[in-house]
Amino acid sequence: MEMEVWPFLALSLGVTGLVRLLPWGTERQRIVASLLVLLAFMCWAPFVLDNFRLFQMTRIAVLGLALLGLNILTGYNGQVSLGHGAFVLMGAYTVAVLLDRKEQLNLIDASPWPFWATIIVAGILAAAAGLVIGVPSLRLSGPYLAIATLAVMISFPIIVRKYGAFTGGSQGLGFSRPPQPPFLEDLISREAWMYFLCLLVLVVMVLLGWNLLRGQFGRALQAVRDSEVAAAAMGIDVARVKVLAFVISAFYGGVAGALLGLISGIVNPDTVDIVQSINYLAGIVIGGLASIMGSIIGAAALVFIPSDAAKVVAKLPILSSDVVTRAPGAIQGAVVIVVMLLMPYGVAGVLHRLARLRLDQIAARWREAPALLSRSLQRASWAWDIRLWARHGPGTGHSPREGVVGRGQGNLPTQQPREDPTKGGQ
Amino acid sequence: MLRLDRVTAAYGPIVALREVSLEVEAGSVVTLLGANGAGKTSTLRVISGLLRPQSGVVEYEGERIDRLSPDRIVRLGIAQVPEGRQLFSQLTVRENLELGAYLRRDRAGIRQDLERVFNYFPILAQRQKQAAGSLSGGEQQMLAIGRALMARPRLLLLDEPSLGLAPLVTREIFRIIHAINEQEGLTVLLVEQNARLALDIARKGYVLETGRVVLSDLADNLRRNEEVRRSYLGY
Amino acid sequence: MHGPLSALLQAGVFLAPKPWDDPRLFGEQIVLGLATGAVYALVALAIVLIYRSTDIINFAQSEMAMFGTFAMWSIWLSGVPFFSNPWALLVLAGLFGLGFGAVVERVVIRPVEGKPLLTIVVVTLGLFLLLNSVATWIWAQGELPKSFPSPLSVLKAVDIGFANIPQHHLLIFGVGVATMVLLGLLFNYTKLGLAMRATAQNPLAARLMGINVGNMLTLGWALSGTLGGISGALIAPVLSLHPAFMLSVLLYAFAAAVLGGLNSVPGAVVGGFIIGVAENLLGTYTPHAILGPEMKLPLALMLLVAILLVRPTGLLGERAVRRV
Repeated sequence: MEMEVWPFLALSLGVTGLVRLLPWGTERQRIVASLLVLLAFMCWAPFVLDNFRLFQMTRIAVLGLALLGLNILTGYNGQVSLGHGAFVLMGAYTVAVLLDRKEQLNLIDASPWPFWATIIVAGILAAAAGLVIGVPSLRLSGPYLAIATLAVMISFPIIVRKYGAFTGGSQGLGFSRPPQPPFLEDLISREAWMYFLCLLVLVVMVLLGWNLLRGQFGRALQAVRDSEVAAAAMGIDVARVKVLAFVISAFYGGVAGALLGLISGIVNPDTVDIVQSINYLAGIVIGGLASIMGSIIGAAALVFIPSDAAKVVAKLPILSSDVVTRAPGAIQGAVVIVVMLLMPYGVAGVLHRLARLRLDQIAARWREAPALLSRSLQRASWAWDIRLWARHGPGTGHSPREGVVGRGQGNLPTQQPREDPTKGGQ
Repeated sequence: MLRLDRVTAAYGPIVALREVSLEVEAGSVVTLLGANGAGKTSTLRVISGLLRPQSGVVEYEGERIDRLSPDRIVRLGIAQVPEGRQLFSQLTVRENLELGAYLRRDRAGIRQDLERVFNYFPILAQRQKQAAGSLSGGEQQMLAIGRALMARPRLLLLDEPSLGLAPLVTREIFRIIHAINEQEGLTVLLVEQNARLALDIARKGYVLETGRVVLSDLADNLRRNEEVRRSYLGY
Repeated sequence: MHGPLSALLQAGVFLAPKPWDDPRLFGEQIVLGLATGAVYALVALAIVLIYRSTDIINFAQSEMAMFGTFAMWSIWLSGVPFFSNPWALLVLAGLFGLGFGAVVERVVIRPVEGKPLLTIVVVTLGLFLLLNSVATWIWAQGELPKSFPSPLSVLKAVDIGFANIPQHHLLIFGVGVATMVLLGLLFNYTKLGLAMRATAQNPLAARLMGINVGNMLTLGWALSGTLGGISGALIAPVLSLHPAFMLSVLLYAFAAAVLGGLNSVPGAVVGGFIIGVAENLLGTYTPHAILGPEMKLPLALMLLVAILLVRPTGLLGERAVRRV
């Protein structure tokens, strides 16, 4: 039986949501059960979705992994990196080189590497690169770090392209995607096999990550993000934490890149470029910073908006068809901006808030929705300004967020913590 | 001249002022006393339009000013010397003073006032071209006061002018504030932790504690008040 | 010099022209570098202007400039009398940038004022994506890149004594320097400029002076937009118009701004010229097989990163002291 992707997702998420929110059992049981239900639906996916949609789901799994890596570095640890794409690209190239160029490299054993080994190597190499980048990054902060990682991300594909002997230059490297293991060959298609592979790796890495993040290390990460000085005063080795964050996020990126390579069968310098890297950042912001679920939601947004936004826009009768084909990119940028304005905690933040309520409370919220919406709009201060102008005339325009427009100084005579979207997640 | 009527103000969830009422008569020096965090600075911020009260009324010369923007309020003649001076440290002394007169257009008047400020604080004339950040603490305080005077205010708000200054310097500054009040009739609302000096030059005083006015009286009476003596005067 | 080392050095792969081989070429590269350096300096100034007053890095700077330049291109194509004159376009580019910058500040940036760094970074990046795709949407029909007119010739060269420089590059240098001088005059000799400097240093105190801080910020973005617009119109005839044409300029400008110190206005200018000249020299005098023109950008960027590691706040920048 075949299903369209949106009804499928609606069904899966709906059932998962019900399991999570209906009042039965303890909170813990509900969380675990809902996750298992979700996993079951995801395993069912290859049997109901068509190949294109299945490939999209596979890409979401891979991208989710990459975003999770970035989230660890930027969401949990506060280091803004525009260079995450370099780790992903590295992972992809590692796999391509190991599967395609091993003879030329005169590696010890010239027979084909098992693909799962290439994934691990890709992760490790990327992690090493993360170390190389992470240590000097200790000296840089905030905007300087962003610019430096931007520089790395721009340079990396150019270097890869230039020194083509190793990397296949502009054309890149091609190889055949790993086949299903023999015992599965008749049961599932190639595409389904890729999907399950990525899903498996994702689940494993998510579990590892979840365990890591909810423990002492996760708290140390966030402590460093919130205040390095305070963290150091509490005895946290700030340098070690920051470098480790880079290494771990690079590892995730490398593994994601490896999977990306494996599912595509071809890797070239354009596989991950600066626009992609920027999209990663946009993705974790939309999905939700410092949130595992948010990373995956962000990945879904990044995959579905370009393909499906066009269809939505096409339904609007006023626009011509060629306008519609170019709309998706513009929509993505607009979505990012709008989300930051209205939902600083990302979609995951909204979901977390919903999940803490029960169904009956949700019904009550629904009734409040119009008021909530108008308050949300008010928070967009220019809308507030317009209202003030309408009521009081010019000269009374200052935003309700009291304090000083500008550097956020002077909210209190003593420091008051600013609203921080990264604290919205788990 | 200035009246606050049951003003309540908060920073998000933190309530800074609870139903604060006070009155400042024209030409007088009124002081607002209290410990750290009592709400003194918040009161001045409300008056200057930097903090919008949740309830209550701020009236200046009969007009409500609690919903006006800060630049409007400066235009009306209220100037503040903020806590910690808040100078433009990379600009010169003269530039700082010129900025005090930002809203004014009368060049002759501005030049006159500049002269007057230099008369009160001769050291500033000497250091005109120096960066404000390079002055000593006392000189910086003088510059901050001079800067506020350049707006030719009718009401001067002073937030802890004694903060971080040596006793001799502080006394000199208070002497000058007193002189300005006497000679020009400039109304002064003085927020201070140094109660003794403040009560010396003030006619009336209010004591704030955790956002509430707990005492209000003539300065002379406050100086003799048991509570005040124990908590704020130290004897 | 004999032996394996000299053989290696003479091997084809290391071949590169030497500066002293052709002094005229060297002189040309320097002057050309100063010309493009002027453009980098303008954009670097735009970045520093905003950063100094708001701690925000405007990652969308290049796309704002690109957007304006494309708009000018449309005006040129339309043939409207007076306005399609390339000289007029130059001025219009500046004016368009002025308005555009102001609008962006009010609509996109104002709502996220005071929010943490990541939020603001993402918003400017989102703006980058948005402008890039909208510009592609509107203007990238047909073949790219489009050519953009210059008031002077891009090809006809002028002999300035020790080198032959295309007219347009001299124009770039001239207009660039003139703009910087005007900006300097504005900042240092006018009341408005004083108010802007004050707002950048201490917004709270500025408010108490009666300065409308919001308007100052809008003005800062507006001026920054102007700088971007002018630099776009100046460099478009050389690089040709396409939606990503300002991206490399932006990167060099970042390098220049960071090199000079993000807090420093003179640093941005000096940095711009240094990067412009260095880019040209590196591109010409390094062995093409190993490095060469394609590696100009990565080299400049890696140089930038190296400098940042040695002096994390740039050559002329001040160490920012943070209160905890």
